[in-house]
Amino acid sequence: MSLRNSVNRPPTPDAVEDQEKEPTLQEIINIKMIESGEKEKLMELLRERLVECGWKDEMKALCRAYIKKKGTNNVTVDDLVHVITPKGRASIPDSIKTELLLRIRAFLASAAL
Amino acid sequence: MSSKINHHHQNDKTNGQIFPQPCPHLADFHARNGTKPFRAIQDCLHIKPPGGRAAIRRDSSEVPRCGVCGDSSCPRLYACMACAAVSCHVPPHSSHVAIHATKTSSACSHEIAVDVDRAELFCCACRDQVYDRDFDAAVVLAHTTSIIQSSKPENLRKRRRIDYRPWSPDLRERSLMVNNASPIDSMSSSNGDLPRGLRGLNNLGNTCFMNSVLQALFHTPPLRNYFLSDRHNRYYCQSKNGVRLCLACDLDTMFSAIFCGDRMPYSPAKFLYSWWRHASNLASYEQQDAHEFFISMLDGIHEKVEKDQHKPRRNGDCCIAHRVFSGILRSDVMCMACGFTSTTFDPCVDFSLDLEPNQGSSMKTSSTKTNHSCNCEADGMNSSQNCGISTLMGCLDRFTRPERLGSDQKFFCQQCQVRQESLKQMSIRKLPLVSCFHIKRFEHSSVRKMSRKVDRYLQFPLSLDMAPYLSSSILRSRFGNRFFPFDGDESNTLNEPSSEFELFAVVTHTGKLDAGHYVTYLRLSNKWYKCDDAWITEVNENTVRAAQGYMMFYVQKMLYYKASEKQGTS
Repeated sequence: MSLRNSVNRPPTPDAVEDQEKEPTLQEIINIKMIESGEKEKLMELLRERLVECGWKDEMKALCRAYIKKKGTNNVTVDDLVHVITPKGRASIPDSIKTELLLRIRAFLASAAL
Repeated sequence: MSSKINHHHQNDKTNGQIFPQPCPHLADFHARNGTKPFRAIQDCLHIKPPGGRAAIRRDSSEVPRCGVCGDSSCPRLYACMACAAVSCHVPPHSSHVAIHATKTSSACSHEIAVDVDRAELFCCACRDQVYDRDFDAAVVLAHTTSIIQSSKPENLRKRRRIDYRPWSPDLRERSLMVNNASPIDSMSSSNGDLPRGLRGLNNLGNTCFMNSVLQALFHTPPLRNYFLSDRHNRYYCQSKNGVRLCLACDLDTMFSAIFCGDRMPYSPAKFLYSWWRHASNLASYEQQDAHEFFISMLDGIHEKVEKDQHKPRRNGDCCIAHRVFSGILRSDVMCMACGFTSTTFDPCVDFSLDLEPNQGSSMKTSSTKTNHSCNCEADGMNSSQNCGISTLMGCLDRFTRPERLGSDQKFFCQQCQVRQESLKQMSIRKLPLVSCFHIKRFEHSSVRKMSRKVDRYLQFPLSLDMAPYLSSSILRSRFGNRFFPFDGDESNTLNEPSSEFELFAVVTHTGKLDAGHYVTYLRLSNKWYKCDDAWITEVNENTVRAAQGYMMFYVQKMLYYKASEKQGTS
């Protein structure tokens, strides 16, 4: 892992080149999705679905309950993320997972990956 | 786990809005970087279509990745405000951004970073999100257009709120009252009589559409107070302007008749005739639409006043009709290609809502948006009833939901200079004193050349908090976690009581489109009365809840006094 020599030097965009790493398939897909704008579209779709089914409201309620328990000044955003992430991941409806997987699969087919 | 507990994020109230004090690291950042520390970031703020979220990118096609591990799929990537180095943050496993922060020296502080996908500030030392007005201002600026946004709608010039001072008459006023008025018998509940102001209205030939709306208006608190305190004196008006068509004078006549204590049903013939002269296209003995009558009547009151006093419609102060019922709607249209948003403000006297079934899935529990009193008797019923039952809040959600304008409705984007698909979102910029919700139950399709009525039941609450539908709330959820006030709106609407409303009248429709009947339910001193033309009876609250609501009238729970420019009556 290489560290910067001077703190004031702006970073070069391709800082990873000295690591000589082959990009994994996952990384390639991620980059292709970002570049084509598909990732942002899927994010919007996901947000819409999670609001519709009430998942967002549930997470909000969980956060509020946690903050109430701990006290407003004793909670950081990291705490909240740590606490609700497992519950959040577990409570996503299967229909939403399926829909997104289908979309991603369709994208992969169209991008000929 | 968190190391930040040593200093509290104290909250500071400015204009009623809670604003957190900066953490020492943010304060230090400010001190080091002069007056506009976030100016540089403004160039990197890009609005990502289709959702219109603000993101930090050096150029619009940049794919941010962690400078240390090269990860670009991490959900939280932060860019250092000092040197623009991007690092990932995956607590508790690894946090390259926290490691980066340790590079802080006396020369340069690397403790403040910004989330590249959410445009939110983060303090790496406190390991917590921080807020800054200047930064939020930069984000909001990136979202909004300079053309339309800069002109704040005139109607919102804030007038100073003043405290209530109880009034008691001086000697002169006391003698005036004694000599020119007669005391009203105090209401005796043992009498079993209906409270004052309840009087049946005779049906003059399919006029239940008019009777139902009139009953609601007679008990609209600000309107009732206005006329009963002689703010529009019909004798004075006619002597000043001559005997001619004035709907406000006719209303004044009716208020006197309704509240005088006489229990015999009243025939609003003179008013009907006046209204026919005003809305000649609706003058017939056919059944009319109650909502159409309502709009036409408000318009009639306004027109006459405007003619007399040459007051343009500004601030809703032109006439009593607008002072009571007019609010302001905000409409945002966002281009889905480039994110450019165009905003317009329009006045409105009511809210016409579409009635569609609530498509809640099994996940939906009672909304945490508001604390409105539920329409059901037992809380246990709520979650099951939320699936499939239409509610007023559901209609309002739909009203303020971002709507995709289809490919046949492409909007001309000023930035792209071409018609693009857009996203439109409505919100309420200013709430009226009295909100009238009109449910669109009558569908007229010119395509299919037929009309039909939607009979579906709509659940409505007795108390309603409109805060989630205000522009400030809608924008707040669109912009993310910001404290920057929008449109110069300094008030914290979530705590302001003026977004809470109470139901006082419901106009219902039963029957078919062409052969139906309007009935009004009024709420007085927490009792419900059914006003069916000439017959007034007390009814159970559940009867009202089960009725088919067509127009629901809500009044603000708290009314404020505003400093007035002039004394005396207007």
